Amino acid sequence: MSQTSADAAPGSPVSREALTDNTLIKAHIYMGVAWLLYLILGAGLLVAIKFVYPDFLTSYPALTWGRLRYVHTQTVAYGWFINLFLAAIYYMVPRLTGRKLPSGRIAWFNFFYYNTVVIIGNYQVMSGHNLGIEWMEYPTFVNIMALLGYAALGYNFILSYVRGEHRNLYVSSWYMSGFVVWGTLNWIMGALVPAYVAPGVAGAAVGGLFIHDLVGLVVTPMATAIIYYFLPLMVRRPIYSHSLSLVGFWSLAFFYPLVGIHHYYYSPIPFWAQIVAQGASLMLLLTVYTVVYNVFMTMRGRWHLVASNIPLRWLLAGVVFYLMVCTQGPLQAMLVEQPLIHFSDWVIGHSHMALLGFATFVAMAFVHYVWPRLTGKELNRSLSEWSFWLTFAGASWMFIDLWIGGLMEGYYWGYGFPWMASITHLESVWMQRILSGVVTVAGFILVLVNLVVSQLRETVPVEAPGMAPAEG
Amino acid sequence: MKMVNIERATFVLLVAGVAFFLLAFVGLGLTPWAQVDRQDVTKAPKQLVPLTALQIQGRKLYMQNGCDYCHSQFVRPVGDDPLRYGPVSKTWEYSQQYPHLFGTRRIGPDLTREGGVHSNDWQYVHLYDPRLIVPWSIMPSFPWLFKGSPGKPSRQAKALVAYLQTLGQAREKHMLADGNAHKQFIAGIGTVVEYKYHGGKLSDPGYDKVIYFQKAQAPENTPELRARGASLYHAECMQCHGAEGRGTGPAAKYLQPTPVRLAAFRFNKHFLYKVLYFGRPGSAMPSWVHAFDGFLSPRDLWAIADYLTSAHFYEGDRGITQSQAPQAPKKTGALLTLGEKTFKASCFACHGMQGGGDGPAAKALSPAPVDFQGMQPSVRWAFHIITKGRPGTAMSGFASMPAKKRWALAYYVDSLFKAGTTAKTARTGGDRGSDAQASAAAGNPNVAGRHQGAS
Repeated sequence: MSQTSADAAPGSPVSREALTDNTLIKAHIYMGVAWLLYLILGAGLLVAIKFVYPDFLTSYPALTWGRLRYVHTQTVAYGWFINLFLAAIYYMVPRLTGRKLPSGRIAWFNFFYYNTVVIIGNYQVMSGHNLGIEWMEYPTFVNIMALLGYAALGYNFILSYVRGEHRNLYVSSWYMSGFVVWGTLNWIMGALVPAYVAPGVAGAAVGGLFIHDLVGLVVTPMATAIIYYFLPLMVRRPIYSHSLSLVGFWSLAFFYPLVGIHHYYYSPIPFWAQIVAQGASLMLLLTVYTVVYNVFMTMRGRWHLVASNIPLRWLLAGVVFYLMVCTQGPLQAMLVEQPLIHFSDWVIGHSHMALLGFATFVAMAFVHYVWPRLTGKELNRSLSEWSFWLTFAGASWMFIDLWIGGLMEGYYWGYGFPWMASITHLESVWMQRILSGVVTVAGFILVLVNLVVSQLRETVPVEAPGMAPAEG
Repeated sequence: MKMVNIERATFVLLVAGVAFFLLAFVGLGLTPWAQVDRQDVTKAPKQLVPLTALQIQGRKLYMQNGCDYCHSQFVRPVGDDPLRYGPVSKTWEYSQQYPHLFGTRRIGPDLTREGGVHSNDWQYVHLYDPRLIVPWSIMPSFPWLFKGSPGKPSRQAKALVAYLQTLGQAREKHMLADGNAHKQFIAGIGTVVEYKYHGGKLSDPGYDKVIYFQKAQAPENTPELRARGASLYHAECMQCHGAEGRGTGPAAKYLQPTPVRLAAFRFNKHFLYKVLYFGRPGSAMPSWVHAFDGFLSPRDLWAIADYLTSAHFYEGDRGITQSQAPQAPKKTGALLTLGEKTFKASCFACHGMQGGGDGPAAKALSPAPVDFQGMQPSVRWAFHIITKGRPGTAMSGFASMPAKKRWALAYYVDSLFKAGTTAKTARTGGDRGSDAQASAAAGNPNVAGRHQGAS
């Protein structure tokens, strides 16, 4: 692991802090959190309310359930996460390669450009123009624009590594490379193939791959990169095992692209492909358990830090959600369980635990850790506590509520009940989803308040900022 | 020999980043495609009718408004899927769809076989405000697809409904052509499609759950059954037929033909069961064993039938206003003879010589003519219909006929009713149906009614 120390180019005159453009990182964080609040308050909560009060806001086409659901999912992926991931890349990559971004101007341009693309995309789906592919609803011209944004990132990212003389990469760099390459390829695949190239069932097979690659090859790698980079800094100890992190990365790279068809089990997609997807899904346990084992062994003897260290608490809560969601995922991807849970709220609970539980908590750990180091201003302790516990409580409530709802639906569908039984009996479940969403978003609002309020304070010297994770 | 260093940037980028991804894309994206393409060629029916411009616009609207996020479009061979939705989906049904609309969530029912299940006017009312028809539906309403009322659909609403009516039609046609489905005319019901089962294979589990016809025997009348019937009526039927069964529920005024004024009729319970089972093709009355409209069990269907035949529900002439029909003259033998003569001269072509709804013209009509042996209108209500006709059906008004003749007809129609459980009606669905239907009634699990099969 010591090789990473060598990444700091010898003789480089600048200190690590001076390598990054802190204003840019801050801008991405602000924008990301703004998207996060928008996707919940402006879409997610409204969608949840419509389950219980279906006549709520039905007079406007733009606010109909289906279109708001597009806004919700698209903004999660392309508004909230990509902004945060760009911030994380701009923070980590210069520190790992020991040099500034090849082009700070392109990075700044991309900040405005990419967020404009997301705004245009949301406007398009709300006014009824979309591609009709789950998680890829933006119309084609918006997707092409977004790919240019990806190219701008790729330019900065790849040149950072190509220009340096790196014998080896730190584990976070592998995952970030994955994010950049997979994100681009996946976007091309999802935006082109089902809509223009492969019709019907063949397109559905590719669509399945796309949906899962978005979670597994875009969100998961970046969240894992953040974990591997910031955990050693937070606990001041190197990662437990380099070999394990190798196993985790390569098994993710190999198995994750193969699992997507499990979204369409028992569909007309050739059955052997579904069997392959089932096997690959089970193999994901290997990926997850190596990462989580590595994290837990790194934490050995330092668990008490969770009480006082709020970024670490976000991070570990995220890792625990990761363990849970990715134990649940491979097991629920077995064909034998599909008749009960497929098509139900169980899956919605599962996907919320992946994106709201795992990835969002890890992103929040990043925000809370780097903010004082970017701005030199501490966050308010009690606001931080409140935002963590509200989010944690609301999110957990939502997951459990939706799993119960999913089991109820599967039961009513599978045992000969009238269809409406699966609607009328679910009202309290859906009501609880609204309430849990309110609690969750209250936590996120406090995060934003905390970030903004901290900027009004006077500068307080913060403990020596980020040594590279491998030093230790 | 130089070892490949797997931690180098280029290696990670090329192998993990590009190669594995492409491997999966080729292995699980393109290879199924090649196989799917072959299947499309070999198994698809000779001619798949392409969608019209209007239907294509409808499909686009379906996509734009996220219909596919609540309504999946594939029937799986597992769970209750085949029972609720019908034949398991085949690859060729999706050929030429860019993109597919499989969906991953069922908040509402699957729509793979929605075409033909509901009439257009039902669809319009339901789109305009789903709760006009299904009181506890949580589907969004789409008033902006209409010009102010369900009776005034915009071109968009027409396009959407035109698309919905295509769903599953290609498959049904295909199954009819290769003998896996039959069209049957049932008097008093209409033309219904039955699917054959090839039960027993992994691809068609659930065949042994085809219980509806087998359990067609009425359960014992108990207060519990009647109470269940009453509560089901108020949950499922009232929005069209009205709380008191006068055919004036909130949705009624937008439907043509208007919902039957149930309270003015006496019903043969077995006939009623059959109507609930098959629906009335050509009207907004759907099949109630189908998932969209309740997925009601045989017992539930009997419970509703029991409630509708109870003295509590039946109104007869009561509640019919003077403007609808004046007071009836006294029933005499002469009047009945005149009625029979008139009926056999003017009505038999549709309603049949015995009033069983099986006249020579009946098969060509949709909705099918009423079976007076199964349902008996009150005299004044019969007079009202004879005078005014039933808009939306082949029944035209005979206002120009002398009133005496109309009263005679009303009394004659009244006398055709067969209330008891006769040998003919004991086997539900088998009375005037085909052999296939008779065997279904006799409990043959290889034949089932519409939306009950998989092949």
